[in-house]
Amino acid sequence: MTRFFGLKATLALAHLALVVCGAARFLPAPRESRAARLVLMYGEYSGSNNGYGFFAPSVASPWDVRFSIYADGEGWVEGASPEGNNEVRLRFHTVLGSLSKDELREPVAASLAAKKFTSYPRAELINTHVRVLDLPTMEEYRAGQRPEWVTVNVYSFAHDPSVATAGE
Amino acid sequence: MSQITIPSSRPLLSDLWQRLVAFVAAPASPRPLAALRIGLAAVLFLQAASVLGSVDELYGSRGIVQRPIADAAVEPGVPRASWVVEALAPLGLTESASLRALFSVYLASLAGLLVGWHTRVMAAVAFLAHLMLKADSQLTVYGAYEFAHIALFYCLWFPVGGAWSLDRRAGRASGEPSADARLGLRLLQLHLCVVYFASGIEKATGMQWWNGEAVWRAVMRPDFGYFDFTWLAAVPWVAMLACWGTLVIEIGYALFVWPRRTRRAMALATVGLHVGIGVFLGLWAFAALMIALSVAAWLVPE
Repeated sequence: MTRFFGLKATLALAHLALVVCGAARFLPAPRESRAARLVLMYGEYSGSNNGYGFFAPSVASPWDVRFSIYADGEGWVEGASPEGNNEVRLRFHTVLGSLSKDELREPVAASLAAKKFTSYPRAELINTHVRVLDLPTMEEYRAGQRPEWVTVNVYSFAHDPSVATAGE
Repeated sequence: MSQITIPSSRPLLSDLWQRLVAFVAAPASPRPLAALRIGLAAVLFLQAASVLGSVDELYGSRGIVQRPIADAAVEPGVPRASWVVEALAPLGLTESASLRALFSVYLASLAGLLVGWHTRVMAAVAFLAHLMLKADSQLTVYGAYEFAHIALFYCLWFPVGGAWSLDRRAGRASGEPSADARLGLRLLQLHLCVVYFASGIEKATGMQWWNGEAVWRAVMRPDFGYFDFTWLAAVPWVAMLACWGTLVIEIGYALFVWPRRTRRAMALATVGLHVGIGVFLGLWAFAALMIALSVAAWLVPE
């Protein structure tokens, strides 16, 4: 084994160590330190900072939004599902999943409402109903309980004519 | 060429050292890493092609996730697609045109990676384009994109063009077994062991994975399910067995995939797990990518 290969092997080992740290959700340096920033940045580039808790420790309930749209004296309700194939829908539902995080719920709801305003430029008000699906257990399902959407938050967004919309 | 040696007066340590050196440096065929390249590029190409009609929705500043929120989801300093948009704006290109140009470069680099044409350059372009697109749509990407990112990073460094490639045919890449191929293969294998062990252990800490509720909830989610699984409530032991089987495969992966006698069965069981995820949950890209990784790591003959 040459010295150059030894160097490559050492770097590979260091990378693997960071992979293990990422999997364990452990940052191997004080959070505010320069070393931590380097580790985090390396993780962004290499993927070594990833955790692997897919559907773990439990399977989360799906989230959804419904929009109450008011325009020209009329109001109606519609959902958020985009047109598109399975992959596009998966990407969209991943965004909806971020509604489960308290700090992201209103910003993401605002983002989705803003998209709706571009679809309906004459809309004056859009109420975004953020919902989570209450899934019964298998035992509860056998007893007659069925999945039910539960509204968690309602955010109201009004169109500001002074702000440019897409296409303007 | 300088060699790393240790004194022969410590035979046990010497033996261990030689085994370790052989583990990471014994020359390996480039075929497994080539299989990684081909599987990865094929899956990503199909995945990217499937979202071609929604580029503005997924990556645009006024798309599903508006720019200020998208920016907050990524570490500062990570290259993003909006940098390309800003760079091309003085040339008169709209955001949509710039995003489509970047996406076209991404698709072209994946095609180059697939056929092994100037492999390392194509890997670098695909990696950078994927990184930029992912950064500007971080809230929309799921597990498949994270694994794609990891695998593309490895394609930058591993000799993935050494077999089944135009580079090999043109003599730009050596097809000889090499220590670099062994090191790359070991890193991929060990990384997968970390992935499945961590995943399995995290699942095992949750009661849902012991009482079957995890599989029940996954197939009942309207965003995943293609099929009607309401009948599962009447036979909860089926869901429970599926959950236990998942735990056995994931936690056992790191143990049973190394011995030759159990390697094939363990790898095929993992492939079967992902086939199930693809078929029953509609996560076909994720499933295909994980299958490609495991096949490359364990099932391609050297």
